[in-house]
Amino acid sequence: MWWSILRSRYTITFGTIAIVSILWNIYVVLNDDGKFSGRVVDMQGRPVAGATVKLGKKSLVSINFHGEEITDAEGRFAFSGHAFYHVHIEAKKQGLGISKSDHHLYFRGQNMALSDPLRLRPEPKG
Amino acid sequence: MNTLIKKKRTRELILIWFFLAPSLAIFALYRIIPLIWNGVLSFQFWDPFKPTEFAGLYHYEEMLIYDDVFWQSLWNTSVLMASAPIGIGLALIIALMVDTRIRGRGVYRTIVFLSYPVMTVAVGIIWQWLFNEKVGLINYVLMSLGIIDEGIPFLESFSLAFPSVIVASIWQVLGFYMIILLTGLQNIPQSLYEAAAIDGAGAWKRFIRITFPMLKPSIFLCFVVGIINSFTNFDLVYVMTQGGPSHVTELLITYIYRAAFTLSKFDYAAAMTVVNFLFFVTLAWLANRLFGGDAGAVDEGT
Amino acid sequence: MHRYPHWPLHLALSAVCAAMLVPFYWVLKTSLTGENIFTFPPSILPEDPHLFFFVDVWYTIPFASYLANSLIVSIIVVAANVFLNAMAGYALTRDFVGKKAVIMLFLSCMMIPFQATIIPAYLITKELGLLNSYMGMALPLCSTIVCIFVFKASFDAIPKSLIDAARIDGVPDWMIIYRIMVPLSQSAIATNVILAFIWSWNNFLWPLVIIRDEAMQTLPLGLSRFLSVYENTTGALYAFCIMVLVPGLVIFLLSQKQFIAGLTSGAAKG
Repeated sequence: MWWSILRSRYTITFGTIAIVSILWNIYVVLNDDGKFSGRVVDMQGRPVAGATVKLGKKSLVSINFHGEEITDAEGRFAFSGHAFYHVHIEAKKQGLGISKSDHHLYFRGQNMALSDPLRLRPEPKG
Repeated sequence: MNTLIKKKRTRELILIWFFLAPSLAIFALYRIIPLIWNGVLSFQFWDPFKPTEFAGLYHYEEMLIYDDVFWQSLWNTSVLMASAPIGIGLALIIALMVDTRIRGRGVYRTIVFLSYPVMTVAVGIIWQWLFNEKVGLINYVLMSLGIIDEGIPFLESFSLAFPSVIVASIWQVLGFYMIILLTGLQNIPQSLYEAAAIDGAGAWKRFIRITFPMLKPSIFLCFVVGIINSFTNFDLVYVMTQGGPSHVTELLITYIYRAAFTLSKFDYAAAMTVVNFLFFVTLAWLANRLFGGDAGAVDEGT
Repeated sequence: MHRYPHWPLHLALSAVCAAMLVPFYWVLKTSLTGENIFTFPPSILPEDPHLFFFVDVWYTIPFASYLANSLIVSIIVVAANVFLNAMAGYALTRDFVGKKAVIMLFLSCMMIPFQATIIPAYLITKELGLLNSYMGMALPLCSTIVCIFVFKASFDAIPKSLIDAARIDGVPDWMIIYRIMVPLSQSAIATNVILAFIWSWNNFLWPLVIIRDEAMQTLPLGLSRFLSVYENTTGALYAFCIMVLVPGLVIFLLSQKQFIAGLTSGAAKG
């Protein structure tokens, strides 16, 4: 009798849903330190040191900046401890240009390491 | 010995009434008392802060003589009801197609029925967007077929808003009608068809003489459902048009809701509810007469 | 019987099914890509799908709260329904004075649509102090006449010889109900559970009338609130629609048989 309850459609469906949500929550807990890292390069692909990188929370109407980092000698930067799910990142270096991009995350504070470097482009005049 | 039987009988009676009590209480509290209270309210001036006073026929006069929106919503409700046969006809065709021995008829049946158990609010949002003037799918199809040049504002136009709501309503109820008709079709004994076939009756004659008469209870039931639907279809109209560009899609029930809970005119809304209910009961009774007696109703319980 | 080609039927039925499924597919597509809200013409297949509208919905609106509220109310309604309807159905299988009157009462209650009672029901709920509460939302739905008759039919179908044998053996009434009748009416219970759950889950007008608290709102209320606050200019609305539709569809697909059986048996003759 227990076996038939276990194999009924309801247990299978809800059981699968429960298992998937538990696994997903475990993944979330393990990966929500709010780390955000990447590299800054210029138009030719050379790493840029000393660029200012700003991280902001993007909502439907506005952007709120929350943190600022300076890239190291190899153009790398790393933030940690943010709790946003829609991130706006801006890298700027005087004379080389600016790079803005938006990133969607799957949950608050998901750890993310950018695979493509942020390419600085000269700011448009005007 | 006699007293023992009597005691057992009394205990049984207590058990029976104890079992009936909660359900009866719920119905008394939420169906019967409200119905009577509605009637009483409609003859009073009700105010949340002042004590109620007797109003006589004031609200009825205001409603029947001065309120155009009431007559508009009554008309809309009747039109929605009159569109039920369209839905029933379509559902009948679909049911006839599904009732054959083609493979996968269970799948077809499930897919057609899918629209009924979903939330009406979601259905309203989906259809409101399908009918959208700029980006709606329907406008896109019409434009790519070359029938029209630019998008029609379905839900904002005075003439097309209500038909759009009717289309969405039929889409949602189609599955339900189909299931009822399908059950009715499956209850027709196969032997009748075989006898008729032996007698040489063609498919059309078989339909007219056997299928249709035996489906009468099911069709009557669909009618009743259609009538109930037109009187109670609050969700769809509320989400799609909120009563439409100046009341062209206003149903009685949405107008009652607005009068009662937006304008706080409980007494006036109660009067309209009374009229709504009487109208509904009369129509259900008429439909019953039309289909010859107590067809399709739940049996008394033999 | 007569042999006729099946392919026209398949064609026609597929056309009908497409008409029924296109709205769902379209909503799904938009929730995945966010196109077709401002752009025109729309495309058939989703280009560049992403799940981020669902993330937006999850974080910007209290979806979990709506879901929990809907679930709690539905569970109360289902539990109450099964008990009350089974009790009333059992009571109706016995003979007693006034049985006919009670049955007529039930049948006439069936003719009173819920919408005809909302104003006094609101006042009554206010008097009982149940506004903005789970019990207030659940109470009017706690018993339905259709389900009472479903239980009655199911109890009537139990062979009388079984019950008589138990009676002769001296088994008390409550034990007969609990040990014999209830296990044999499992399909009636299942039907009742499904019908009550779906009716309570989809209920829009009644919570709209009595709930004013943000924290107590159910899914349908949340959906219509989202529409009025954010308008249909964002893919998040359609993601919300999908999130609302999926539980209903899953429950329906799991329990089709009981659902359809309940609808038709309570309504059709016999």
